[in-house]
Amino acid sequence: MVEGTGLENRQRGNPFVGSNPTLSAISKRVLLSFVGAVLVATALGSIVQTQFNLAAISGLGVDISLGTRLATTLHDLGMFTPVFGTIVFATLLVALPLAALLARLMPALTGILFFAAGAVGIWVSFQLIDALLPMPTFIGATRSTVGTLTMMLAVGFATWVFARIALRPGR
Amino acid sequence: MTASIRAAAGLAVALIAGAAMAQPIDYRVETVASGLEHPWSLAFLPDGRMLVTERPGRLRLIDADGSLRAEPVQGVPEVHSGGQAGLFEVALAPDFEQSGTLLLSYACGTREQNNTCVARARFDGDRLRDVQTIFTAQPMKRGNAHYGGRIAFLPDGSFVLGLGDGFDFREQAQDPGNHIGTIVRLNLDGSYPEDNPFVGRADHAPEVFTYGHRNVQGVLYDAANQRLLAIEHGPRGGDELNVLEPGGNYGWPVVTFGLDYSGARITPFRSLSGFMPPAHHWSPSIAPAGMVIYRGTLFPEWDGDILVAALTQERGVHRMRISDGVVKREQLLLHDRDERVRDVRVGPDGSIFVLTDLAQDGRVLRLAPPGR
Repeated sequence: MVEGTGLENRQRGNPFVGSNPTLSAISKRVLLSFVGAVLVATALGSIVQTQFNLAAISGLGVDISLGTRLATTLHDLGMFTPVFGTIVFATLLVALPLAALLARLMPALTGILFFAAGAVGIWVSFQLIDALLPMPTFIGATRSTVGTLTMMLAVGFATWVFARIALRPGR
Repeated sequence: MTASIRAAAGLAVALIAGAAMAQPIDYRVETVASGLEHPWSLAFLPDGRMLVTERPGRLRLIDADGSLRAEPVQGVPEVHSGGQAGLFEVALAPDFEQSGTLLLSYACGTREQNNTCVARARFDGDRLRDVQTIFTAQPMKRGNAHYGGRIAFLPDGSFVLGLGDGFDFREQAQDPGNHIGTIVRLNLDGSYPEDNPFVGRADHAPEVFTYGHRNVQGVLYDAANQRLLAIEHGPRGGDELNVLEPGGNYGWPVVTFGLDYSGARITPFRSLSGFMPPAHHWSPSIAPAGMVIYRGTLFPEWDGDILVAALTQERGVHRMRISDGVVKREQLLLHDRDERVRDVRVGPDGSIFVLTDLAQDGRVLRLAPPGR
């Protein structure tokens, strides 16, 4: 039987807040969730940008087979992710603590805040990178609004999942 | 001119980069002029003087004794500068001695609406007169990257102009209906020759000579072999040397040996039927920014070799030889200086002139055999 009077059950309606695990357990879970968020955001972002690049080529009338699509996606997971993962890592290092701070002030908006932290955070990073590097647009998929929004969505999803896991009630 | 060179820079010994060279060839390097801001292009006037463009928008005059005039040549059209934008090529018309006509290529417009323009002017020995814009690449686009800008005259008096894809508009390079990512062929009045490959074809711009290019910064006509060559910047790898065929599609961005700067694939394809393959590609990139074919007596062993200016990686001047359709690097000149080289030219006496791409102290260098 599940104990129904625990502290964790007093926060019904907000799955992100309320537990009493040990500090070290929280730290470990947050750390692992952070690493997971970086990895998920990086992988999703890589897969997304590959599809946009391929769509641009197929839009020129060139057939791209499923095998070629998969091979290109895998290539980018190997070659694009080191630099994009670094960008995501730096972004989330700033964005997630900021989201956590805001979530304390507005606990009802925790999920939205963490999603926005990833999505807006990576957008800010794109802007900074494009402003600082010599090339006008570092990541080809972000040349279009749709591409940029989809990349934001990918990272936002990862940070939303982060919040679901890292801040879930303890057991 | 040699006697008036400001500073001599000692002897450089060439490195053998390819297996084909039997002997290293010595040359010495002299600084002809310094203190230039991103020098981009060089033209030799018949009276021994030189015109040099500076990317921010100035045309400078170097007297026959090697002194750089403090005041820029007046009459240069207003250029859009910043980033890669600015004043590019100065090219003397084939009849310059009689007409004083020259061409300037430059970025024109604003940050939000710009592209590459060509102006024709008459140089009266002191300033430009009768300046007229004869070509504006279409459509206008935003940004300040990838303009191309190099010009080469053809035996019939027409000229070709290499253009760029504007960086963010790479797919447009596959559309011969506009000028983005193309090489155009024009007459001196800006009109297009009637025998251009796409004249009369619907949805094709009649000025287009070839398309599918990324950023063409070198074009030359090889009279001995009656061929037109072009070099273009690839992204991360995939710089190309192409032999141009009228109407040819050179592939960008559908086929390339390069990756995007982020490491991602721009395209899965390095070659495909229907796309012209490069005669040579540099991967990793050298950023080829200027090209000339060596014809002269000072370096007789280099006769017919192609000299390519390189901005990155193996900076310097790459001496290439095309033999039986195979392109091989023979030698890397100026490797010991490790400076960005924007342009390379052959002077009237057969010596080699080089422009180094620096923001404050860009230089005109002269390479000649020891003792010459």
